[in-house]
Amino acid sequence: MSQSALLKHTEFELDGNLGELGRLVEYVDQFCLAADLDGEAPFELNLVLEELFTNAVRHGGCEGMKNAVHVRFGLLENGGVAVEYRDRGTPFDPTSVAEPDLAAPLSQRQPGGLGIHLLRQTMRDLRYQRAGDWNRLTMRREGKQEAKSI
Amino acid sequence: MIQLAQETREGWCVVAVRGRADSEAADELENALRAAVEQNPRVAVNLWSLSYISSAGLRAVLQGARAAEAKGVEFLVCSPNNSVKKVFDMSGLHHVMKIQERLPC
Repeated sequence: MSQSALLKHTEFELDGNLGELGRLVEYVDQFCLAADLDGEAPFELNLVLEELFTNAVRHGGCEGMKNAVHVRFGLLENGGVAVEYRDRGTPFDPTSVAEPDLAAPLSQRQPGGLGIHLLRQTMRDLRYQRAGDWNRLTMRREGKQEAKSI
Repeated sequence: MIQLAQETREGWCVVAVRGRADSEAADELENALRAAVEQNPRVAVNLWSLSYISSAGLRAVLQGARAAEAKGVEFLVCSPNNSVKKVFDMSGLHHVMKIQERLPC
């Protein structure tokens, strides 16, 4: 109880290489466990943050950059999570990306665009701003009511 | 971290995918699926032990399914857990590829 009270906020930085994905998973898992979030929370937060992080490294010029990405979680009263994601990549506004055509047949499906679509499906209240050298995205994951097993 | 294993059962090439299909693992997964499609008339991708998939992992499966379609190979995605299934559904991939609860063999 006291431990989860202490861990209502957490923040961490990642360097600009995909080898950092393992650390991202650890930070997300630790926060979800300490905050006693529902079982889907680690999967969904990883899905969203991996997408943003990978985009920044592969396409945003963050490759090789020290502390390229900064993430902050705040636990909300209803079990939701406020997320602030920042990276020092080239300006990129995920909220302005066109939706992929999900009804297209297999041969015409474009491989790109899925990740941002999943981000929008998973998170609420996405807000983007360019703040100096940083892309800054704030968003919220709704808390989910779940009968906790065991 | 991803682990891939391939075996042939009752005329199906079964590709078992374990662990996490993330950005780091996506190329390895795509290559394995393409290789299976190249050499077999029927491919079943067993996701029973897959705990996580991101859009990069989805793209790998999508590319495998596209290669299968182009070659006339039967391609099934089998046994995803609920969270993994949900990501396929959110992406609309359940409309363009066969996803089922059980392996065909």
